[in-house]
Amino acid sequence: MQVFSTACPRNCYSTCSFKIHVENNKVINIDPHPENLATPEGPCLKGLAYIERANSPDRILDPLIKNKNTGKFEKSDWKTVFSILADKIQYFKNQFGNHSILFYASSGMSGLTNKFSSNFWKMIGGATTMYGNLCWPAGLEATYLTMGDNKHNAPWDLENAKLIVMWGKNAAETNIHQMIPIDKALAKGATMVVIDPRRTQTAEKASLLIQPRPGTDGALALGVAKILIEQNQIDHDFIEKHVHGYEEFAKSVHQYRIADIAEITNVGERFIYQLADLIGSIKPMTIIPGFGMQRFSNGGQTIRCLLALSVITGNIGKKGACWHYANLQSYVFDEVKEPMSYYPPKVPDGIFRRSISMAKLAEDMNATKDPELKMIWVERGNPVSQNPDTNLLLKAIRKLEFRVVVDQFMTDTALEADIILPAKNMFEQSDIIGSYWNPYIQLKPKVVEPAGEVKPETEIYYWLAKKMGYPEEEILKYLPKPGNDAIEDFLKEKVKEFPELDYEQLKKGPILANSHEEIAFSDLKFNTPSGKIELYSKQAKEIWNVSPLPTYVETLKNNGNGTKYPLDLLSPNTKNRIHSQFNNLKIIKLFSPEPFVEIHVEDAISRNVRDNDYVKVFNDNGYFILKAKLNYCIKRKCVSISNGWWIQEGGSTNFLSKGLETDMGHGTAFHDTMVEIEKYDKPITQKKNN
Amino acid sequence: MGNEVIEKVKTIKQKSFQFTIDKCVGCQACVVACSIENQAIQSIPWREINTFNSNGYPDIPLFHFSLACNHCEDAPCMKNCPALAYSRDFSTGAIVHSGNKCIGCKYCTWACPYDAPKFNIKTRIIEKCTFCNNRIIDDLKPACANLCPTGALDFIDKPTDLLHQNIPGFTDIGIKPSIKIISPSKEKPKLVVSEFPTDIKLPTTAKKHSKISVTEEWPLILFTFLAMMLVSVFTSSVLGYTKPNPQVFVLSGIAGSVLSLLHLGKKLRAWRSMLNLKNSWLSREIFSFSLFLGLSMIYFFINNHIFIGYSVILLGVFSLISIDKVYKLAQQVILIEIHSAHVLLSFFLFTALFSEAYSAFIFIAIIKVILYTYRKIEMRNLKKNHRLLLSGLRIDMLVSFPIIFWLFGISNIFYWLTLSILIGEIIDRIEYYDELDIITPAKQMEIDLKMISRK
Repeated sequence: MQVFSTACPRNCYSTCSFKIHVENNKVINIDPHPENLATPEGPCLKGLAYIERANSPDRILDPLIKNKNTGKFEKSDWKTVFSILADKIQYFKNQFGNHSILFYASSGMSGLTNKFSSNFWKMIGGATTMYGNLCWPAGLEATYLTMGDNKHNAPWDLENAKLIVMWGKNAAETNIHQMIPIDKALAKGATMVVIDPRRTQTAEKASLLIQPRPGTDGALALGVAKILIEQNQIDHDFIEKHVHGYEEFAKSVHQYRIADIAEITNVGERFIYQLADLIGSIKPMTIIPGFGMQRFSNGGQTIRCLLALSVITGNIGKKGACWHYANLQSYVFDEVKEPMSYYPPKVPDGIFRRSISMAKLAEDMNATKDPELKMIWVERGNPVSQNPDTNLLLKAIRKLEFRVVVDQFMTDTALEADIILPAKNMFEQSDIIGSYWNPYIQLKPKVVEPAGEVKPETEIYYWLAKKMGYPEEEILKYLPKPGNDAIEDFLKEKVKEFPELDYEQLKKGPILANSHEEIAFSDLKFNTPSGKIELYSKQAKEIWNVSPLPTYVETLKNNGNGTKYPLDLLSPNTKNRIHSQFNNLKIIKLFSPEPFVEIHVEDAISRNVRDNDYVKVFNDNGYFILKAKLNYCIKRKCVSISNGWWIQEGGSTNFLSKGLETDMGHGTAFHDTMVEIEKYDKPITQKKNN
Repeated sequence: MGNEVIEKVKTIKQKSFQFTIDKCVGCQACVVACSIENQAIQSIPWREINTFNSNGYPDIPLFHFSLACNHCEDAPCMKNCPALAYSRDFSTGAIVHSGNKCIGCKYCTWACPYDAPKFNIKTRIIEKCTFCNNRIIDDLKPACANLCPTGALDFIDKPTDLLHQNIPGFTDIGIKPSIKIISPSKEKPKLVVSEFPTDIKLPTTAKKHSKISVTEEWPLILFTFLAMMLVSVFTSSVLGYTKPNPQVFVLSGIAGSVLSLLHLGKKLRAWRSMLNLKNSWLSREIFSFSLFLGLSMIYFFINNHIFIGYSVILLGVFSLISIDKVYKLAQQVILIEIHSAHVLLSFFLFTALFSEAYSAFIFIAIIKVILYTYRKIEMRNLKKNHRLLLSGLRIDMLVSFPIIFWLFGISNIFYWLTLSILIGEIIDRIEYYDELDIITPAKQMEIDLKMISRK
């Protein structure tokens, strides 16, 4: 048996290091990797589920071609598949131009080798791609506008905080390793406040839970700011030295009445005062905002409002005091950092047409002209379940002439494909990853040979380029040679740029990123136009056409056709999945057998719905039939369904969402979704995986 | 074992799990870790997470217990296993289950309040947490404790002063489980919630699954009832009142025994069920009933010496006592020492009837009616389903019908009486099984949650 140090490449805060045991070309067990100070006790259940995932009998191990007559997938071989792919790509390229091909890639697996995929499309003359992102750009943009960079204190610094404000983040499920420093802080006497429409597992640790109406967190923050300013619980010295636009901000919040804020947020006045009192009187404070609040049409402004509280109380750049949104300190290899990398280019490069908004994928695909889209190539993503407006997106995908999906499992998107190519898993090719929470650079080495007929994407592209007739020396300008040696050479070359990093050392475990600051912004230098923290941001107005000040704007409560539905739909992440990954595994299914909607007992009773009844959740966009779970944890007039369920497992929350961009950063406003629920009495025929 | 391993074993201390309630977020990683470590031998998870207050009743904390086998010092699984399939590894303190000795009687699943022994429906035997004994020998923690991402579940040298009392959601029946539970600090502030409270109660849902159910245990109901009838008939025949047909008697005894074997996972290993006479009432029951049957054959067919007759009666009564004791492990809806459906009581009732000792019969019948009525009233007070109609019928069978038969001087009154009482007793026996339940961590949590929410 061999033991390797590796790291989880999923789109997740924790980015755990762990040790993987390999025997006879098979991963067999996992051990914690205590050298990663952020994840010392080992990965979560999903990380442990890799043992099943890597060896799953459901994994796609051969290229598959859909039989047009039966609709079933049939095993094929690379030779056949490459020849079809080469013909098709040549045909669309010659007939309609490169931009008739849509290259869709998402966050299914992170790593430096991902860039080779776009290199291939660049080499063949380009393709259409997307701008924007499904996840977090509104918050990144808001933070960037305010402080000039997205970074926060080291995860373990949290234990120094005396007040922890978990604002819309349920770390117990989405960043379980954060609970370790939280426990340490609480043991040392810290106070924790949770602000969330749900009484989450994280809230069990808190002494105060405030449950605002979804989308009104900005108003709540401004109310607190008003109280802090009026009661003179702000850090005048810090403001004077480091803050730009405080006067305007103070004037602007002065106009709010706490009674109105209470009305908007549906939070009692005394709780707003209580929150303000805690924030005003306890230092150091760390605010930890989640990503959910910024997936509203007012998301960026909301995040600016929250961040203002850290700013006016001087809780920036100190031990135990930070704005804990995103920590891009380990993204040292990126040419263009987020959030700028999400912008559509000001001047098109003629190769990539980045004209389709990730948020509005379905709508934009349909609307794209000159040339129209003819083909889609999907990798590292499952847009059918994860992009908004599933019904419209399915139509757009089915309208195309040719669909290729690269994946490990038969996802909803894979089911739509004409050709499925078997994707590598994290153990089958080396790569280097960073994290947006912990400050480590990590190597994820190749530890087993690819299973079955699996080829890493780099090799798929290499052989496809060969088949398309590109000469070797041309190909090697864009792609590595087949085999892991070429990948290792590429990674070693990357690492060489940074003297602090050493490839041999990376094989043993995580290394702190060279740019790592234990306490972010401790130098109090801010990369903004004024060089100060900008509460007043001219850029916000210029780039995004929002108020230069953090303000509260109503969400659009988008229902499709403007019809009114009474319930706010939350679609948070769960501990059982990363977006739409993992729930197909048997061990995860054990804990998470089918979708359910969380609903408050009162809202359920008034709709004649009992625990475990099947219900129909619907709005003008679509509907979703699933079980109801009644509880007292969720706020009244809100329902919650975790995102990431496959249609074949019972449905997708995106049947209900509408393609809509956030106010800044080109994010996706999934949460501007209102629904109604009714009891569903017809028999349920559960679709099984085929 | 090589010398090296023996050396290692010598140095191992007694071990214990440590569980910090406040650190556990119910993430299930321990369950997955266990399933990876034991994938070759595990059919269903051995470790389970149960959530206290999973519906989030306001003002009551919501927390979890991650439990598998606690490798108790006074392990009731080991004590009660009739087949001696359990043993203790004295080097680590682990309670080890040997699959090749197990007869699949599931009695240990009744004995364990932590729901640790799991019945594998494919192999038809029990499987359970091994304490990762093989890992302990290599100085490693069990997989679950090794891979708990928050450090809530840990593995420590066993403290000498383990206390388990008054931990909401945790069953303490004094069997010294090897788990140190760290409860939340008393200073932990109560969660204040901005939402206004509600008076609306969550509607109760369908009946919860019980490990003892009439539909699954009917062979045992039949067997225990038959055993009681046989002992009664035999006793009254020795006393000179009945004359049972020996062939029918022996055949029904054998049929009953075969019936009782039906629920065993491994029927060919049935002989093992008598190995634990020292501790297990189940072994005693099977052993004494087998002797009862064997000796009764001698009595009927070889030598009907009165001494043999009385010996058979004694064995029969002892087997009935054992039957009642077997069910002491289960919880009753109402906590009572003597249940109206105990086979010993029914034995007295029928023996008195068959032996025409009518005053004794009436006396026992009155006791039964009192016990039965008291139980039903208590159930009603606790808002349990007390089945008013059935209860009425059952009492009629024992009281009104016999009185009516007597008043109207019905012919063949003895047969009608016997039939009526028989039906009544069967109803009671079935209800007895229906009311039995085995405590599990999930049920303990429900009980404690009800207690707390009533306060």
